[in-house]
Formats: sequence, C-alpha cells, structure tokens
Amino acid sequence: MMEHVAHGLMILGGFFAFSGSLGILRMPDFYSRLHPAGTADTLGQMLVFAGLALKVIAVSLAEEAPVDGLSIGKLIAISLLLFVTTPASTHAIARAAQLGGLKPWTGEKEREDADE
Amino acid sequence: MRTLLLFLVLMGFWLLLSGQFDNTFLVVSGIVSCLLAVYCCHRLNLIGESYHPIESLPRFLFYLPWLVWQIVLASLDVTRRSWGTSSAIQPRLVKVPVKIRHPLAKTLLANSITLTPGTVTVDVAEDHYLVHALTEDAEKGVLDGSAERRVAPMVPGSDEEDPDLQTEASS
Amino acid sequence: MTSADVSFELITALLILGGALLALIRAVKGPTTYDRVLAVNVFGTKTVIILALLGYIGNRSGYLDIAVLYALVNFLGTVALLRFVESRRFFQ
Repeated sequence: MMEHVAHGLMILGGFFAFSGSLGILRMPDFYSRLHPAGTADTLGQMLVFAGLALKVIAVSLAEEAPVDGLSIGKLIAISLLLFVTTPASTHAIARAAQLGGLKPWTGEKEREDADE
Repeated sequence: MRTLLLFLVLMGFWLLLSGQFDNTFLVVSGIVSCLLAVYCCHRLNLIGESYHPIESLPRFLFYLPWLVWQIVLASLDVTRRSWGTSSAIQPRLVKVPVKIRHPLAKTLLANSITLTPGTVTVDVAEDHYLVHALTEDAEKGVLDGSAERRVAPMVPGSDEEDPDLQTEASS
Repeated sequence: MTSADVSFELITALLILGGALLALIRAVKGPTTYDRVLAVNVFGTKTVIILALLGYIGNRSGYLDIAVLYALVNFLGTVALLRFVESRRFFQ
C-alpha cells in the first residue's frame, strides 16, 4: 500500500517537473518563463523526494530491516535546500533581467497601458 | 543562546552528512570545526539580534501548510498554461505596496509571492515590490495583501526597521 | 525486490530527463542571456533529482551527498553567472 502511494507521488512529481520544463520552452516571453521555473519545479521536487523517502521506509518495513534514517534525513535536507534556493535564484535572475532593461511582453496591444 | 543554537544546527548538519557516530576522531573533528565556524560568525558579527528563531519557528510551521497548498495550486495553474496555448496569459508588471520592514519578513514575503499562483517577485524596494503577474486574477490576488497578513505575525516587530541597523546607527 | 519495483523510479527519472532536455533546448534557443541562465538553473535542479533517483536505483547512498553538494553549487553558480553577466555589461 505504502509503496503504491510512493510510486504515485514519484510519477506525479516527474510529471510536474516535466511540464515545468515544457512551460519554460513554450511560454512567449522571459518573465512568463519564470513562473514554471519557480513553482512547478518546486512542487515536482517536493513530490519526488517525498515519494523516495516513503519508498525507503516502505522497503525497509517490508524486509523488516531497520529504517535508514540517515538517507531520509539527507533526502529531507536536499528537499528543504531546493525549497529555499529555487525561488531565490528565480528572483535573482528576474532582478538581473529587470536591471538589464528587459521589458515584459504584455500580449496584444488591445490592452491599454493603464497599469504602468 | 543564539550561539548555542547555531552550534547545535551546525553539529546536526555535520552528523547528517558524515553519518559516523562511533568513530571518535570524526566526531571530535566535527565538534572542533563547528566551534571554529561559530567563532568566525561571532568575529564577523553575523549573529545579529534581529532574528528570534525560537518564537518564529513554531509560527512558521503553522504557515507551512498554507504555503504548500499555494504551491500545489500554483503548479496546477502553471501546468495548465504550459500545455495550453500562449494566448491564455496576459502578463503585466504590478507595483505592490508593502508595510513590513524587517529583512527576514521581507524575504519570506518575496519568496511566498513567487510561490503563489501566477505571480513572481521581480524587484524588492524600500516600500514596494515589483511583481510580475500572469493574469488579472493573479494581479488582484497579490494586491489584496493576504500573503502579507499571513507573513507579518511570524516575525515579531516585523513592521519596524531592522534592529541591527538601528543599533549600528545609535552606537 | 522484483524488476517491476525498480521501473517506477526509472520512469520518473526518464520523465525528468525529458524535462531536462526541454530546458536544454531553451538554453540553446534562448533569445536573451537571462533565458539561458534560467534554463541552466532549471537543468541543475533536475540533475539533483535525477542524482537522488539514480542513488536509489543503484542502491548507492553516496549519491545523496553528491546531490546535496550539487544543489548548493547550482545556486552559487547561478548567482556567480549573473554577477558575471552584470559586470561584463558595465565594462563594455
């Protein structure tokens, strides 16, 4: 049972990570490409690491071996690290682009520049 | 107190990465290097007075589920837009006024805005953020300041100036 | 442990590898430098996940240490690259 949940989490995480990259490839301008990079990757990463940790627990329970706490601790540490650094680096890139004078694409020109 | 906390966190990280609990030489060298790092932080004045980890951490744990839920919503949103056509977005830059001044609270708020659906923080200024929003709904969501109301109680004295800067100015 | 057990991790790793390839295409196409930096950053994140999955598949816990290091180096590398891009613009 636990293994199936772990597999589901992993596949779901892989799917989110994949569609995040697809978004980066397909979005029309630089600033909208930031959105998939910041969010979809974070969720995908969290799901995959949660699935892996659950899988480690499930396998050691099935074999009645002691749970490998060190590996789980490392998995959580990597996940937290990515959770903090992914938005931070997204923000760093966005700020650099903004300072570099990159203008955002605002779609069709039918919308007036009212909110500037 | 803060120094002890820093030492404990560093020691935990060392033990986590090395995984050796019974090799005396490794444990002792871990303690020595953690002490050295704490001493360097002390000399560099990195242990400031502006953070209250003991008060902030429990509140952060209450905040975390909301943040994770927002990330789930944001990812579903962005996934739908990635597979759909590019005409589904009307991006715009929005200036969002913020009231909090504490650096930790500002960092948390900027990260939270990035992780909520359809918005990315582009620039952080003294009293406002520059936020890139994908749609009009996202723009409204970030302008009503719900994220700020959730972040503000987490850091005590979050609408005051940086205490470190104040002590430097007065001394 | 049967072979069907391992395949789920392998499928996930392949999915993420596909995502990494898409990010790489963006890094090559890229119109601006910032697009390329963003794509390389995303590629690094995917590398970390693939490393952890490979460590599980191959049953080598040492891969996790490499993944921790790579996550740190990826962030620092992105920031350093941005500083370099910025300084080059000023010197021109």
